[in-house]
Amino acid sequence: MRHHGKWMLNAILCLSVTAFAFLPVAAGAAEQPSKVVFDIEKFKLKGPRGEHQLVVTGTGAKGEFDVTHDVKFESTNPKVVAIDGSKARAAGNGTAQIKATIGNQSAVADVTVSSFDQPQPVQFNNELLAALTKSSCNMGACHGSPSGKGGFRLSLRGFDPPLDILTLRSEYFGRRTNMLKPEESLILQKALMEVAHGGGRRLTKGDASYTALRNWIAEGLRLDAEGTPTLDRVQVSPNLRTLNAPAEVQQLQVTGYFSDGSQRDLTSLTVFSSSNESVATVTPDGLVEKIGRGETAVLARYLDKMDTSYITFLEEVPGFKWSNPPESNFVDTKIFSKLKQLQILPSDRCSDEEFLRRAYLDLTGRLPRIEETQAFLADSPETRRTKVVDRLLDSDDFAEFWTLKWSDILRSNAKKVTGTGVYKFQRWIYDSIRSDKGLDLFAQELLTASGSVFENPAANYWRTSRDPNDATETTAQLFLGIRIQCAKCHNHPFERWSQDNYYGIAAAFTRIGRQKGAAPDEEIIHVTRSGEIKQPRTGQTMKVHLLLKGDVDVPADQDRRRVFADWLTAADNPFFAKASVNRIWGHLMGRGIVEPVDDFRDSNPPSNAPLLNELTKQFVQNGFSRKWAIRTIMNSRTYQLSSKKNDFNADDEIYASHATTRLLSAEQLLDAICQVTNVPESFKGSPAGTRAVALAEPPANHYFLKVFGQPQREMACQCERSNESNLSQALQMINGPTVHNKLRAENGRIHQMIKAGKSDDEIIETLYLAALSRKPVDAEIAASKNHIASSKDRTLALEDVGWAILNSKEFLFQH
Amino acid sequence: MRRHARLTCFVCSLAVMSSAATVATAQAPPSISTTQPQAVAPGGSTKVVLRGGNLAGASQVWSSFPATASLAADVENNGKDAAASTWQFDVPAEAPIGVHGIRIAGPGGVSGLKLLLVDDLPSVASVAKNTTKETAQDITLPVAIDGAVASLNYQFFRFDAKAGESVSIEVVARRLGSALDPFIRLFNPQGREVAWSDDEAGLRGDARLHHTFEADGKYTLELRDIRYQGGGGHFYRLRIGDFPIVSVPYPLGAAKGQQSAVTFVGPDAAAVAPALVTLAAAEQEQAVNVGAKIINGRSSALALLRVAQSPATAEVEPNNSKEQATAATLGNTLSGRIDEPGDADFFKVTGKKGQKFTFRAITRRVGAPTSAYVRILNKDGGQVAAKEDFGVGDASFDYAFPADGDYFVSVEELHRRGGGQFGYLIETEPAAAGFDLSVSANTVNIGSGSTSAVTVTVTRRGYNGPITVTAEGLPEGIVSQPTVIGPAMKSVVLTLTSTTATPQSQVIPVQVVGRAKIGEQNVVETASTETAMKAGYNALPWAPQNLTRQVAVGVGPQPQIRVRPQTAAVTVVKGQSGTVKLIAERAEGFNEAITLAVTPEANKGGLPGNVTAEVKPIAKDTNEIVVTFKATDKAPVGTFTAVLTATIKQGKTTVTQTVPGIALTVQDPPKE
Repeated sequence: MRHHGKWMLNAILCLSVTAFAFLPVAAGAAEQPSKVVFDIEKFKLKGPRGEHQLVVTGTGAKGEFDVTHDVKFESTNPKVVAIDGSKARAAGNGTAQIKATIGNQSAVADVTVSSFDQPQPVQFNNELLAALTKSSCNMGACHGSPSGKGGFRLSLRGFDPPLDILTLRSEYFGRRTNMLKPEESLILQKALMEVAHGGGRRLTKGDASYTALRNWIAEGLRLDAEGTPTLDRVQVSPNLRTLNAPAEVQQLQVTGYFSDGSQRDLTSLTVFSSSNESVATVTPDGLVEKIGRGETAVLARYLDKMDTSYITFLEEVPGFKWSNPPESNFVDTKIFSKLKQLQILPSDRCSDEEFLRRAYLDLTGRLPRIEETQAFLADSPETRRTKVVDRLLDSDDFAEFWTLKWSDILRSNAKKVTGTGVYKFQRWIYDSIRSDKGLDLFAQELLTASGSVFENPAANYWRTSRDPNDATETTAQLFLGIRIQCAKCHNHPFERWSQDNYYGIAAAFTRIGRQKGAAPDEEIIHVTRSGEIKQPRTGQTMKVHLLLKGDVDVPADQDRRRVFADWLTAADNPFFAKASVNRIWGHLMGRGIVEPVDDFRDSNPPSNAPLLNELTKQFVQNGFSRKWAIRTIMNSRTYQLSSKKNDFNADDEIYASHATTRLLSAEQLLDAICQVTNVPESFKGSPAGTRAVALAEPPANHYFLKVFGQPQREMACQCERSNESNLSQALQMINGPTVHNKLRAENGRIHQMIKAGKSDDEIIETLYLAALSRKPVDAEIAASKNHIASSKDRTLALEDVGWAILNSKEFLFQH
Repeated sequence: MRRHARLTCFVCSLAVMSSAATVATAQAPPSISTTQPQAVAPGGSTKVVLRGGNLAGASQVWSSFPATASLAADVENNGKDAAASTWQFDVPAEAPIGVHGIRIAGPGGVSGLKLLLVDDLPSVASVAKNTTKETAQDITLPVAIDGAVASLNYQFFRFDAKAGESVSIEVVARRLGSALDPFIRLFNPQGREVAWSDDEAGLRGDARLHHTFEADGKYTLELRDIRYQGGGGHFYRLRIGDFPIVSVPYPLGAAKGQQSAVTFVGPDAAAVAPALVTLAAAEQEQAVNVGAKIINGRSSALALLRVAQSPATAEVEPNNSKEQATAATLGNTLSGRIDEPGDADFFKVTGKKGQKFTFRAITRRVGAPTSAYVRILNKDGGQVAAKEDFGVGDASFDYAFPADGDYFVSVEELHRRGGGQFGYLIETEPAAAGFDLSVSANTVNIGSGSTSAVTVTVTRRGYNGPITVTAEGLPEGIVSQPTVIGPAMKSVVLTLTSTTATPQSQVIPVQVVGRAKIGEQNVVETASTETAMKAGYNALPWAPQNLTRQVAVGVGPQPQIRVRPQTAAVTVVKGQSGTVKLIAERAEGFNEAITLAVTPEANKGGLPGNVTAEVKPIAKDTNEIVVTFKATDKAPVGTFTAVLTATIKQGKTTVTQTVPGIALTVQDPPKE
């Protein structure tokens, strides 16, 4: 095999991808506020352990900023309420005020203390378990693992209180605790490292977790009295805050709301985490500390309840001046608003040639043909971009390429749906996409499909999802945008989803029967009238559960899936439309507004929530039309921004300030090589000329496709398609047989043009147009011709030119 | 309009075989692999080219529809080519539209059944160059195209259509026994796909669509296998006409011996002419073909009508609850239709304590898309029994009524679909002891003067006693040995023996019938050929229901050896043995040893339990051997049939022949 590696056309390698990272900013001095206020100006403390995290916000020339740790707190009656740092603690029944003063500004909060003289034992469920969680004793890597650690097993993050009661109170005859001398309890001594502990020091004397544990032991390991209120929800304050430099911190406060209507501060036992630690970190006490410019979501988690605070740190970027780019539609309005706020300057609009190539690759998976490029460039500049989007959306190539995307995540492979099934399922998906079937109807038809998988291929959804658990996880990931797998075995550690939620969804998918079909490889899916699922931890038979709505009773003669599908696709469903439109955005922009596109969670906030909300709203108004969403996004200036960055967006990878460059997918790349060389690939079992993106399933043992990350359709996760670069890819492109053989093929473009007597200029221009949708610039022509001139073999030299183009970033990447 | 259902099978022979005597006598049975066209026209004459093997010298073509078939006189050397011959079919106008079968008989015997349509659409053959859109075959509607799809290939057809005009398009492939899994797409004059079809419910995997054209112009139809598979076995008949989109009439069944009116309601809501159907009182088949046309239409849909086994009770809507249930009598066939998605039909029956009935849904096997879900409810609405269709099986179950009173039979569509084609029959009959028979082959070729065999399998229903099996309809010169499926046995080999005087080159239709006295009842059942047919058409889930009862017998040349028992019966007392002498006749030059074997093997149903046979070869150059049957004390008492096969290897030639069945009676020892 001939080696192409010695010669490169450097002029055509013009793109780069830089990892996103905001630079840390210099800490600035706090500004003197012109006004200060308590975030919570009136609160109650109940019992002798009543406490409240104070949060004080100042207002200055650059907006609001946190002064909690800068003000001086004073109690008007220390015998009622005492000040402990930035916390108010109960000291006696009565009322008092707390005054916060900074400079010449002050604010007052009213406090009422009650039941101070009443005993206030530590509540096992609400406090003790939270203390174990806060101190990480019951996390998965420690005693919360299924087998525990060192013979001591706790339920993961306190989700199974009966198990923890057994372990803490009576296991090993109660040797872990000492009620008479609570400080000598093994559980405390180990966590304090007074006794050797593999998990290291988890507690400090006097901290909230230690105090809760110590007191619970001292009080006699008491269980909660009957009627003890349960925690309904928590709320973090502030919920949303934008802080301008030099502001660098924000104190958070967490309030718990209980089933008896009471509320109390839970800040000290709340677990905090930041979604973006390159922007900010958060201390165990809930103090958010700036690292750099940007946004983060701080998750406040208390037992299985959680809330999120969205914090933005802004700072002046020297030299930044908003360019007022024109807006094509609401997408630009929302994107530009965010960029302006973050002082990120969008790139310029991309060239027509770049747009055309991008649009073809995104919509059809292939490069524009030379004649299509020429026709586009000859069309009216004012309308040609919108016209080509419309034309491509209406094309069969579009349906073919987007069918591939859904075939992947619907796991259409012969092992799961049989060799015949993949063709029939592919055709059903293709027809749905080609006819722009609303995604609501698309999902409904899949979720409620019955009958023969051949006559009604949508029923293959149930051929791949063969048990309620699989169906739950697949459906949640595909249509809710939620990865709920963790909740199968335990409540989700970082999200709100519980085992009850998981098995409640699964209850919708328990009454599905599968029978042999009339044909040997056929299967019949049908609804049965019996079948239940139990929550494995509680043993409870689950009703159908609709997330954030509740349990529903479904009569035995009705299809539970229908109830679920109707809820899922209702206009006001908080998940489906959002997840659907986000997935489409991700396909077009290379990154979802929520990324990964199927991983919506409080701790993974959207990069532009207003945009996602508006897209969702209009997507629903437009009948869940995939084509509407694609058209809207592609007609925006945002989509049409250049991938070339400027000084003010060089670090941005999430706010869509420029086009995201990405390696062509395995199938796109192979098809593109075939298209440039004019040598189609042969796939066993498919007619000549079949594109890789149009195959019914991934071909067995196609090395090129595998190397470039073609998924085998084993998972409902988009992540199965690898976009990682590796050495094998480079070797394939540089010296692999696919590229090599197509370049030198006698029936290929280069050899045919040579045979037809075409000049070097003609062949070079044709190759550029075919591969990059543009003509070569002078330097590229010169470089190419120089190489040809210096070569003894013209054919070989022209193959080299083709090879160099195929190995250029401009060819390999979508940009 | 009056339609005629097929009453009996028709054998129409015109042996115009002046050259028959020249055909070699060692010829193997003929076979038909393809026909061109794949249909004959009713009320006219159609020339059909049969392709296959050993066709030279064939003198008769048999058809399951009324027709006369003769070698086409205007084809040069017709009848002399082993690979092809052309036959002219003259078919009366009343021949039922639908899937039928033909066989050809020649010196080597009789061919297997080849499915062929009677079709009122004119036939054209597909052309070789129609594999791209650009080279699509031009056709004029209405028409039916006969062809086969090659691997990794498409076929395209182009035709003119007017705005507002409607057309029905269907591929008959699976229903003809083809391996093709057809997929069709219709493109408008601009090349845009406007309609497609893959697997249409009720058509066994075939495709069908109905389309109304939006504009004048040339439309293109694409046909391929959904998996791009192909080859000679991927043949099809592509029908394009004004036929309605129906595959069953309503009701789904009609009674024998009388005229019945049926209607057709399809999803296209076309006005379809009702039909009057007369079924012969002696009709043996499960269903008959009935064509369906729109009023003043030019082409017919293919539909099957079930031959009802008992009087029918038709549902009276509304009967969507037990309170509205249609009154019915147990023993009748309950007939109805799931008119709309989610519909449920209720019938009220009166059960007596201890009565046991069989309930059996008939839907998909006759072409209805319905997947039946049948339940029995007690008077309070509580479910006491339920069953749904599964695989190729029907929703079928027995229910014993626990008390006198009213019960309800509820019928639903398993997948909650509904519409004009979603008809059903629920056959109810007393669950009396009985049996069903099935044969392993529907074609039996016997060498002249020799014996051949077919295995008969029994499905017993509460009866374990002996069943006598015979072939009925045999002409003189062919006999079926007295054969008994012994007590508790699951199968038997039925042997048929010809004499040298038996005429050759003739299709002999017979039926295999089992008889038993069960209690006071003389029960007679005809064996089904469905299993045998499905073995031949493995892409066909249900054999054509109008072709499931007939076995064809043919007589070929005399084999090189013949082995017969000296006596046709042997009695063995338990704990003792009995012998039968076998006598061989050899053709000149076939003097090697003849091996013998019980068929099937003794431990696989060839002999009753605890009975063995000592079988030694007939030695080289000898013609006799004694077979000894031994029964232990535990052997079952009764009469059975034992069959042996004889095999000789002479040089490179191996010949296997069946020995006529031997009646084997096992007796208790005489009481002392």
